[in-house]
Amino acid sequence: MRWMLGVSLLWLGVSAPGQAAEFRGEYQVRATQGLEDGDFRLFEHSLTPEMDLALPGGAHMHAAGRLRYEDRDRFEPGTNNDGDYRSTWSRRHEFSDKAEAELLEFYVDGYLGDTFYRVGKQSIAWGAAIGLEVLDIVNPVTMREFILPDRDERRLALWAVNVEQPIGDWMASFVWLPDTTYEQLPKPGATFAFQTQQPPSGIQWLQADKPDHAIADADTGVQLTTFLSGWDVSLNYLYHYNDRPVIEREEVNGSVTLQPVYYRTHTLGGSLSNAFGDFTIRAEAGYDTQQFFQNGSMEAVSGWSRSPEVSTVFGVDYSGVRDWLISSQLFVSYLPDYQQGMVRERRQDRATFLLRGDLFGHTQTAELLLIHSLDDHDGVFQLAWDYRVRSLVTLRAMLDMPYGDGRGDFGQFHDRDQFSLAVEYSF
Amino acid sequence: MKHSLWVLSLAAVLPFTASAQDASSEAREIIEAVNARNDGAYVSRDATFELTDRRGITRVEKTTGYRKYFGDEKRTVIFYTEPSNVRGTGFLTWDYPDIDAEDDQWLYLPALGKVRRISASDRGDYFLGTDLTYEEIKKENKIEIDDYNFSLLGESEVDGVAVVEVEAIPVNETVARELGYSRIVLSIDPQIQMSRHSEYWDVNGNRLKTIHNGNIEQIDGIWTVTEVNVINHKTDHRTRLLFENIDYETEVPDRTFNRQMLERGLR
Repeated sequence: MRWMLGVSLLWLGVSAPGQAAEFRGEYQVRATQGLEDGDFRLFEHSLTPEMDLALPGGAHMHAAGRLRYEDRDRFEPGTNNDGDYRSTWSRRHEFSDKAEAELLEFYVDGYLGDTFYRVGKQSIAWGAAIGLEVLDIVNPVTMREFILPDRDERRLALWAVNVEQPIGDWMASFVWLPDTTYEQLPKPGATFAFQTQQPPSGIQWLQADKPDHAIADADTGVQLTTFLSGWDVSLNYLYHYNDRPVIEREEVNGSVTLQPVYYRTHTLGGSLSNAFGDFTIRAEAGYDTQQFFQNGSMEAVSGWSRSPEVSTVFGVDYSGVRDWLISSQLFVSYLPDYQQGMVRERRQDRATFLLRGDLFGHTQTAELLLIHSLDDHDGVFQLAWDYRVRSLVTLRAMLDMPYGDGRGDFGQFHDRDQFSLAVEYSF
Repeated sequence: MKHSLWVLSLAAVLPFTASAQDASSEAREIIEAVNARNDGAYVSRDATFELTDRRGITRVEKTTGYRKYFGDEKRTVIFYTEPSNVRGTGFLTWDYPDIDAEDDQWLYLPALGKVRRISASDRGDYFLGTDLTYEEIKKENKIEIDDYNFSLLGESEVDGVAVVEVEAIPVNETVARELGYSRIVLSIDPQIQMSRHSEYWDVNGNRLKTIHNGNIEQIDGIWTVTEVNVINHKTDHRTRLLFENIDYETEVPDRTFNRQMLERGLR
């Protein structure tokens, strides 16, 4: 119903007298083959039309949607589970188990004096890390295909108000997010379903206690950015619900239940970046006042423990070889109030390595990305190749190889290696 | 006798040296005039890049760009508008007047969703698949005068217009390698202080590329190149660059040249 209302609003916008709308979009067909299980796991057609419309007073409206038909139905088998993770306003419209429509972005923005505003469904990206996140926590993501697609493809846009106001040499960005949508995990049985979602036998899994009040449960935050003696500096604060729930265990009369519950935290952080010759360095740090960690494995879950979390990332990019970028990052997460029995270690170290080349006059791009856990020795190895065959046609090949021990965050998908081919047409 | 011969030799060389110095000085003055040419305090424009490879396959990319002087500092931002799969890619440069000060540059890639600080590219690197280098894109038909020694070659004609030919040789091997050239011959129209045609040789002395400013017109009282044709003779790759909707009169807001705008794209 709300989906139809969105379309109606779009139509009204386009029909506004004297306002010229600009349309464009992409059509993509993609096929993905599982390499270890031999499963032809995805055959997808997606159409992503976009529209921009100039409004009176210098304002501007942007809308983007996606129509998707996925024939294999392995990533989200059956009906989707949007109701478990997304607010009513951010859910997809399902035509069937295999076909859906989604409003990806829909907002109005402009200036009131020096103040920029953007109101509507939008993405807000903080930080500059690649592959893993410290400060990029404003929007949740979908784990439909784990962390294999680009971050931008996984990010779930939220209904939000974003106001940017210059204050001296600083730019202050105030965000208010009444959209109670959180990280979306695949259903049990999906290709990339998490181990933690598999309910242990004899234990009842209850509906999540998910915040759903737009005002009382809204997230809010501020980002201050400036350019200081050659350094890009940001200071960040977000008061928000953790995107991943805590699994709470209850035992009544010998019957055990598990229920996902969402809790709030304050995140404070900052980032720095600068370039020195062929090198660019980037650093981010974040402090969560409270994070919740499961005690023991899912089979023996006995509750959770609470600790603040300090997360940092330090990255170096090297572009001294013409048309190539070599980038490496070290992520460190540390729990100051570590409790014995927590399912994770006090300190977690992860590293990333990225090699990207723009080849043959920028008609082809080759990319290698490695994300590796230094503690669990698992990770993800990805190769991608883009060939811009014509101005409007791009051919794409991707190899994704999670590896490592089956109990690790990445290693749990070690048998889900896949190869994808896609053709994209822009119009 | 020996002394007389030395005096005679000096007498023969002096006029030539003086003449060469005059020619060099005159060439440098021409370049100074080129660099002093008014190119507006700010400009907005759309650009179409037609990139044709040796097989004759042409890719078309469109951008919208803005440039503004903040004192002697020049800030430029370019947003890709077409094709859709690169739309939103943005490139922001703050170019400082001190030749020793590195530019500050930022790149926005929609696939990442974030603005990234990037190192100032080597001046001789080719700009995003075109046959123009970052230096040429940045200088906009001007020349970094301290990079070259100039000499006057004579007069000629380009597209029926009288031009002065100036040879530019990098001041040393380091600069030559940075720029990727060992020699440039610029055909400068002294009436408008602008090069109409230029030939380039690589660091090994081989003919590298030709830049031909196919169309030059006065817009808002400022001489402006609206069509550039580049042929890379080594790769047989061609770039045709067409500028439209050029506007020197509407002031570009300062905020156009910050990270937030880069992230928002053209909105």
